Amino acid sequence: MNVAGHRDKLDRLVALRQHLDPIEDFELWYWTTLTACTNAYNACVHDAGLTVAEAAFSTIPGMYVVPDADGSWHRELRALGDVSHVGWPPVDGDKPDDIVRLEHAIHRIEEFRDPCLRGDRRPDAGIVAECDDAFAVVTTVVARRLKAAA
Amino acid sequence: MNIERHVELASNIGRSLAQLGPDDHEMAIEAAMLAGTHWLNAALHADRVAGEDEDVVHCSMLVVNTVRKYAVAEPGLVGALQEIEDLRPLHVRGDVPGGSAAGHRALDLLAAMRLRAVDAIEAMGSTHSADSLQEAR
Repeated sequence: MNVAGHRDKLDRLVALRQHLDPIEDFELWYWTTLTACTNAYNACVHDAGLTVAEAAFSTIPGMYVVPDADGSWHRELRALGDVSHVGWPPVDGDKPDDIVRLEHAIHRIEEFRDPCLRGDRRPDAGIVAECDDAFAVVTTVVARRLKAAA
Repeated sequence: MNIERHVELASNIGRSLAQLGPDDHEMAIEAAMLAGTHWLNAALHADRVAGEDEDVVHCSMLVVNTVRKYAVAEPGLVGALQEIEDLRPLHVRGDVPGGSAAGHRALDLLAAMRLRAVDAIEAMGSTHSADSLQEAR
């Protein structure tokens, strides 16, 4: 997806995140946060020239869904474009410092994915604070990078 | 993970759906994926087809024979989850037109999955989830 598409999703997800209660709606709040992070990351690594922005949508590493002109779609094996999660697949190359900070912040959030959404760990104020703190890094990095690119 | 916890997480997600607005189709699809997976796992555990240490994360991540086995046990649930999964690349990770309709479709599929899973859990004679199952239904 192109940078503008990621940016549009990021903005809407950030707005939704404000409407969700971090504890009462934890599962959806967390997933909204994580999805916003992935869009921020894809926008930034496209902008940095580390991955290709194109109308091919990520699934598992190496395989993309590509829309066809007639409204249908097909799966295709392609070189790295969007990633589905940070690190899945990893983005190689000489990464600018802000991208490294971005990856680190998102990994801090990803740590809670399986324990809280697919396991027995209960959300608490500490988890919410850690996610909020890391997400603030994400929004700062993406705002600076995309503002500089505009 | 045990049935109780699957029901709890799926029900939590179901309650939070009320917070979504008309422009939030990405999270409608993702919520259906997350909650639907919990309902599938709960049903497979109730059917004694998959143990509590054999949770499905995505149908697309399973080996072919495992999908076949689960589809024999719960064809409606597996088919619905696969359809929800197919919406994700186009409308969550992509931006093709039709996102709003896709979000509605995902939630319809989730509603059907919830009812089928509750039936499966009740059929196993579970009593400890009675209150949460009543709420889910």
